[in-house]
Amino acid sequence: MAARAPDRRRNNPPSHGTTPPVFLSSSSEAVKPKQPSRPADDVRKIFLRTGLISSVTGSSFLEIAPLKLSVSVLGPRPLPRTSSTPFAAQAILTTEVKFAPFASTVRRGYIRDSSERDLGSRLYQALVGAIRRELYPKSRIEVVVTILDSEDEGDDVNTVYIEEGKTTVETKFWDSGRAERALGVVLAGCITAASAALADAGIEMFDLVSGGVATAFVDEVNSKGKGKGDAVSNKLYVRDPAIAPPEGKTPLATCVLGYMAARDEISELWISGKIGTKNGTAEMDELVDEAIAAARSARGVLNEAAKERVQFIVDKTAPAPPSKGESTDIEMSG
Amino acid sequence: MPPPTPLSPPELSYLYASLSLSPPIRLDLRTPTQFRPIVAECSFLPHCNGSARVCMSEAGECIVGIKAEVEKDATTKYVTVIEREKWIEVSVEVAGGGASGAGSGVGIGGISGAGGATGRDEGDGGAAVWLKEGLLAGGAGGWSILDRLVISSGWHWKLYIDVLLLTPTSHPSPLLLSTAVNMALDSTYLPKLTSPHDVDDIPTFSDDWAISVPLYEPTTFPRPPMSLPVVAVGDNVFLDPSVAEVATAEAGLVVTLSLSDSEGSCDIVGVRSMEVGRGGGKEGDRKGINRKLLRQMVNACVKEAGGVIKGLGETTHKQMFRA
Amino acid sequence: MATLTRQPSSGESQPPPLTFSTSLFRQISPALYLQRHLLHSPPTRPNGRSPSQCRDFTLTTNSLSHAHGSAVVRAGDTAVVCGIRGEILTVAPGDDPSQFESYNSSPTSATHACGTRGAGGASWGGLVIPNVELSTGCSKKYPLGPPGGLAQTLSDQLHELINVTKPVSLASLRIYDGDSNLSSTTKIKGYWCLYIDVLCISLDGNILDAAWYAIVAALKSTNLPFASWNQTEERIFCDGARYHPISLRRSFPFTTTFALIPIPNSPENSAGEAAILINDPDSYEEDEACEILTILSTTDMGTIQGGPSQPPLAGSRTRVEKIEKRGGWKIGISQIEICTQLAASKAARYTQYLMKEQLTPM
Repeated sequence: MAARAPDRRRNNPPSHGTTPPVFLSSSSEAVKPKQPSRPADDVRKIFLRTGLISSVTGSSFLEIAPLKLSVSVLGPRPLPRTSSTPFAAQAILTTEVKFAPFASTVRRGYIRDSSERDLGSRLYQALVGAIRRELYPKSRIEVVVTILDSEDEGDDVNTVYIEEGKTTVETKFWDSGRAERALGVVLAGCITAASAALADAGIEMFDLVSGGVATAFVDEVNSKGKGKGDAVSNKLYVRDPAIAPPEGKTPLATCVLGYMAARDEISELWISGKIGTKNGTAEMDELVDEAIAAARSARGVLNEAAKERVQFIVDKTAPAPPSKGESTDIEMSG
Repeated sequence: MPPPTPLSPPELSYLYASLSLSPPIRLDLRTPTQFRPIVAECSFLPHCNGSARVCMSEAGECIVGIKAEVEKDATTKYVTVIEREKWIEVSVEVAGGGASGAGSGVGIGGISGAGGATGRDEGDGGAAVWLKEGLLAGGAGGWSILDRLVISSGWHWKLYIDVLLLTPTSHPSPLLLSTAVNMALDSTYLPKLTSPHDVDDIPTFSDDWAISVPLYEPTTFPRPPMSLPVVAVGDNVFLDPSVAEVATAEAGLVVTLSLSDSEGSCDIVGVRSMEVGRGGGKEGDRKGINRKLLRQMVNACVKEAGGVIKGLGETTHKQMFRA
Repeated sequence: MATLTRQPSSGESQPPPLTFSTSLFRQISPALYLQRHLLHSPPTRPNGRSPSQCRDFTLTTNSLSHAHGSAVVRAGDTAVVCGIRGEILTVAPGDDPSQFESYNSSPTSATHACGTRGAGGASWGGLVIPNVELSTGCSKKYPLGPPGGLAQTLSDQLHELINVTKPVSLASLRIYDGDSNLSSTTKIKGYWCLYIDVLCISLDGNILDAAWYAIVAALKSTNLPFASWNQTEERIFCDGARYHPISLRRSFPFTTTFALIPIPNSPENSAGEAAILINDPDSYEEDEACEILTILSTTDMGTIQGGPSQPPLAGSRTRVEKIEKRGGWKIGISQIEICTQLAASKAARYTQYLMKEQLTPM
């Protein structure tokens, strides 16, 4: 955090500016974070609960291993009546994704940075088609996602590896797919949780959108040396990838998508990485299929959460014996 | 918010009907995979390491300047990943600001600036993220543009990519930006290092531009990436859609590709959804892309991209001062 | 859900009074609704609590992976997450380290406000920087976007609480040069700077108490990596394998907030009370309050050994560190005394929970 103009609405750090801690490690003793081994086609357990925030229309909380995020849905509420507000025949959807300052490897500021804005607009893209916006004219629906914790890019990215007696730059821990995997897992979580929150808010949708993410890996040896090409044969597809690549593998491409299972349609697609086109789009198809499979398993959780919520509402509205606390009769004359 | 369109619902409906015919009829009578003509020049800014100017009739004009500065590594030999990613800085600025509404940032073909215009946004939306992502992803699997930026032990180039957009619409085609950045990168040359490679002292460079080193070697691969927008209307797929076509379309993608060999075959380095107007279709028709359509759209891009990128590269090299 | 029955009124000739369902009444006339509840015998608040009763709360510490210390506090429907992260401030060669080692001495909020957010505009803080974020969709009432009035006030209040209570020994945040030949002051190469970020996830009143409690719990759970100056690389490096807690004050003060609900003179108000004090208000009650009273008090850790069943109420074991009251003139001396007692028992409960949380293995 270099010296920037202080934010007058918040408390600011000392004017000297502070830097995130940088760790030092000699690679010989580098302790690799132990990843609980998980089959490549398995996804992490998803915890999803809706309706935890009482003062908003709809809310959900999602937890996938380290990723924790909370979604609030505000609205539909009327657009402000100003002369500059255009007529909206359909509801205007706004989405906002914000990392908590302590949610990532390096502390983030309170002003949304470009990657957060980017996540927000992709979440918008994933949800906008699914909502029946024409039913809510002249109104606004806001989806706010707060990410409390995430795996992010792992602690490796802030570590300097020094190996005694070696002078070449060690690029072992440097792989370019890192940011994409980290953001991909977050985005998939955002999509799933936001759909749950929209359902909790009772907003009508064509279908629930669930997020899925998959990464294609190849052997490290294949990627270097020849550069490209023959690695196709032994590709490893990992659904819901962790940040540390599997042993001896290097990432090729990551695919994140928002998937409407009942309609078999993709509402949001994001692929980043390198995909060969020797066989047309066959390689891309495989990757997309893996991501869809991941989205399908998230959809199962989403359905359960929606069902739970419906059950809860049914139980609540069922005629119950009047409780003591609420039986205070009140009369108002005039 | 979808890109604002000047067309009325009946006009959109008409356009939708004509685009979903088989064969489709586009407003400007192009074939579905035909691109619109562009005017492009490169290396026209004498103080930049690389520069390009691209004009498109509808989307306006885009100027890209790339400057490289020598910067010391934070540590002598090793840098953290986070520090390395700061070696490239991309900024997108819209001149005049007349097109985009207050606080919304410019939306590049709906890639960015779509959601969350709640006053917290400042600056360029996601266009910069999208451009940088294409650059870094371009060499997944061992090769990275960042390796080209290492000067000597302890020193690296810091690349500033400044994009200036002069555009009459708030959602210019991603093709405009991408073409301009592609040409600018292709025409970027860095001065040749004259001091030894493995010494920690301040590096020195030759002032002779005739022996300067290109950022992307013209004969090796991968080459700078390039993004092609594609939209679908009915069962038809259209490359390089116009504003009206985007407003009508039901689904859109931006496919980023990079040339992988001299014959003009390409690797896909990125695919992103593009926001479209969904103007003409019937309500509740199509809310996303099914897999068949996705294949069709990406295939169209892959088929055409080779020729387009190669052609652009050749033009760039013809224009280069050293050619 | 209760539908209304007509109360037998004295004048039979009067037209029947308008009746509303309870939930509708709650919406259209919150002040009256609240007053009727409080005048009931025994007085019960709409949420079912008695006026002096506070909400149950839960505390979880160190549940976040990237923060150096963290706490989640949930009190009723108010939930806050506090994360503490250390960042490194590298001391430039000419700097005087002592300037970092003092809390901004600002005894009153007035001078404090001038000091940090005054006309100059630049407000660069000390080594401990608290901030509260409410723009998380935690409630309908607070719009998204830059911090509004409440968020700014809260950040400021917390900043002041930190300055007043001095929870962290700033000297323990020093980062030294590993070389032992240098004198002690030149050895200081940098400082840990603690960012305390409080995010409100769900807001239902009395966020100050929850936020402060979360901050204290998070500070207690904070572990910073060992940092030292690396001479060859000329930069501060941390050791990812070794962590140390930060040195804190022995016993922590806690805040307890009360709201005063005005009661107008009416036939129902037989006791003739002008206002009723309620402990730990929720947002519905906060909206109607005419005065807010916050007491910052410490309960000595020693009293806990006496047994959790008897909350220590004796004044000798409790110290009041700060009383802040906003608005109005209705709270009397005697009421403040009652509040102090309640605050003491709440502080004792806080301390108790905190110790219990720390004893349970992670």
